[in-house]
Amino acid sequence: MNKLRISGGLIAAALLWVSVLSLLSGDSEESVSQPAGDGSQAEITFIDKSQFYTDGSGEVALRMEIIDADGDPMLGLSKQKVHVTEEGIEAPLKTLHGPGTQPINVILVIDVSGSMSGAKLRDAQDAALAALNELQIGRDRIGVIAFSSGMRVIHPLSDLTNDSLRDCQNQLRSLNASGGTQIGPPTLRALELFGQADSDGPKLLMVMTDGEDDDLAALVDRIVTSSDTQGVPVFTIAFGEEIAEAKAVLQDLASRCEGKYYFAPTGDELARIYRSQVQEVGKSFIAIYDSPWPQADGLPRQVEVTVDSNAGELSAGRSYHIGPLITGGQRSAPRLPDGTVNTAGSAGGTFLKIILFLFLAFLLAGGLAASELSSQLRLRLGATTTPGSASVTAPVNAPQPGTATPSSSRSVPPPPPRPATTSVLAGRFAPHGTPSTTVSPPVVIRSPPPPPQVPGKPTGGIKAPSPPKTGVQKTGVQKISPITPPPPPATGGKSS
Amino acid sequence: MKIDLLALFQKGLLGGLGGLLGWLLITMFVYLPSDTTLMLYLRVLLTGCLIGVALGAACGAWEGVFRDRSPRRLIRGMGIGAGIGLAGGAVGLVTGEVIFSLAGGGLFSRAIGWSIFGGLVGTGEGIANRMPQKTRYGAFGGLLGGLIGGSTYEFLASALQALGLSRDVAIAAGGAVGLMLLGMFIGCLVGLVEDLLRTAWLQFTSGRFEGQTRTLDPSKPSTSIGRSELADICILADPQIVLQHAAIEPEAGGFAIIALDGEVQINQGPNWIPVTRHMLSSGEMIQIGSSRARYQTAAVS
Repeated sequence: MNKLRISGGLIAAALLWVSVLSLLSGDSEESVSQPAGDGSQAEITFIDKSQFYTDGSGEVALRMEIIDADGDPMLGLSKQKVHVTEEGIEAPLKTLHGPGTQPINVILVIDVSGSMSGAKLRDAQDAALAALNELQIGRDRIGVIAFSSGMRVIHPLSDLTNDSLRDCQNQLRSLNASGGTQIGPPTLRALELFGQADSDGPKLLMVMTDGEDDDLAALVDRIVTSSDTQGVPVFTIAFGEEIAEAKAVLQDLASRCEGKYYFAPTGDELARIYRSQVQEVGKSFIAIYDSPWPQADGLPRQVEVTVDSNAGELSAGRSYHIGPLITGGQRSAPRLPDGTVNTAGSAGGTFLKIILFLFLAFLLAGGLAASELSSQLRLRLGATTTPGSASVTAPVNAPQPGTATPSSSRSVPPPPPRPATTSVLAGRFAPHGTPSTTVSPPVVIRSPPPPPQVPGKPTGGIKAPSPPKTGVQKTGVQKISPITPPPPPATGGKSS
Repeated sequence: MKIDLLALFQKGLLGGLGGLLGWLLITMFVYLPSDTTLMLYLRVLLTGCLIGVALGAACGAWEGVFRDRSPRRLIRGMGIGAGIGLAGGAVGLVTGEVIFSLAGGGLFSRAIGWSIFGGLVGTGEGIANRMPQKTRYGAFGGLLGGLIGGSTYEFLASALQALGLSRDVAIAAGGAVGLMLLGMFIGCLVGLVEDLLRTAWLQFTSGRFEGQTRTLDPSKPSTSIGRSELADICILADPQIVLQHAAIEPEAGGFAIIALDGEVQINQGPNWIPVTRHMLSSGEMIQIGSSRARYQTAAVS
């Protein structure tokens, strides 16, 4: 069977297994929500794990949209009306920030490459200015990075004041378009700025481009990691025209960074997207809690939120991962709502682990013992079988050269001289004696020799006679050592 | 092709024991926090080392326990396997963790991460035997084992939790079974891939190793046969076999057998003919000491 086909078949089988399990597990980080009858609904839009490791707290921040029937943020919500569970264990809220109570942190990354010159640049400038108008002076924070082949931080992420707003507006109006398109580096820089600022409140990064960056795909993984670490969703916007290859990369980047991809064919649409995103973030509730499992174990964690609203109970869910490929020995007993750790469960868990280990070890050891037993039985059964009748009855002794042998044997002309024995192991396993290149002596014919029979002169051999090592004579009557094992069953001299 | 089912079974079970032992080791000894990236990867490194040592030693034990039945070969196999498993486990799991983190978690990315780990650990037997082709087979088998074991680990942990077990126990059970499966698949698939893809081998038809096969690696300059424990095919407890009895070397697309200090006979028709150097043809029987073996190639068997 073709090697390639075998290898391909094995890989396909393994991938099928993985795919089936992936489907069965149904693990998805997509948000699910259950609206109320009047249209009120709650949705978890983003899970910020950037503070998870802080002081071993396991802090998680949920960004949620909780809207009433009119689509406005629900009023009158307090910590007591919002309940969070993670993997079925209730997690008391530390803080619930309502819309507008926390600063919105926004960075705009704007493409000013050569293709943006003219009306497109003017539209982009107007759209960015419109986004600034959605922010609140004295509360929110704004940063702007312009890029083409290089990048320029035209306004670092800082508090929005009258002066900084004016400065930012002037910088935006003075932008010029030239150069190529390098999207990755300014995006990474923007995420760095979020990390350096270390501010509270929801974060929003919007990357706008009208072109294609061949190097972006190579940086997506780094951007995703940084986005996850900083707790910043990334929104990507294709402006002007939608290039298929660029769209695929921008979509992938946005989805992996828990943002969204948009296409804005006109300046008005771009402005609408900027405004709506800022408004949406501004309408978000932030619920902060400590995970019942502060040890990062790498497995999915399902978060469920229920909201006691006037319209009834609203629910939303989403899952997230945090932690390594495989967990070690950290104790993963849950932290209960009252702050205690379920040690009783932990002791029971340890006992179950021991039982599990012993059971599996016994199972495996039993299998090995069974295989060894069957192997031994097979050997013993094979050893008690009597040798079948030999079909060859040639005499043991070598015939004289040129002499015709009895009917059961035949003479074979001497083979041509063979070269000296050579081997890559010569230095390590050097044969004794001096190799000879003389014509070989006549062929010696014999029946299948059960050990410890000693053959006559070797055929075609160049090997010089070596001193006997086993105490068996090379010619003449064979000596049978007392420890010689019984001969193997005759195979009738069958040709293989 | 000839698939040695018993050997596969044994290798799989030994690998499973190794994986289970690895799980026990990490449960007992890995308590590092993960609050920084450095600590996280340090923990991953330690985890990879421990699992790699256990898996490598277990896979390396098969030769000494079941094949050659030699305590020295057992210790040698376990030692080399553990050493290679240590290095392979460390590098493999860290690399896998990087990929897992970049992908943001998930069953598929975990499977990919474990497959890299398994692939590196699976090279142990081939490196220990100095057989490049077996090393490649081992890497491939380990890769597949990691794919299957890694995906099963996450699925099982989540499924057990859904069935009502506490997260603590579900993770432990998932880890134990997942690592056991990883080891089983590495052990089994290393052997299976070797059996499926090898081009030539000796199948012993009588003697101490009756029923067993020995793969011949065309990329290995010489495969030694003898009573020496350093020999590639070590045949112990046969007084007719000397320390450096014979060797099989790749030649002209096939293999040739060379008699060194001992005698080698080839069956030709009804006769057994001693040879010093002989080009083997598929199906040909050879006799070394009290053992007989048939030379097989993949094209004909």
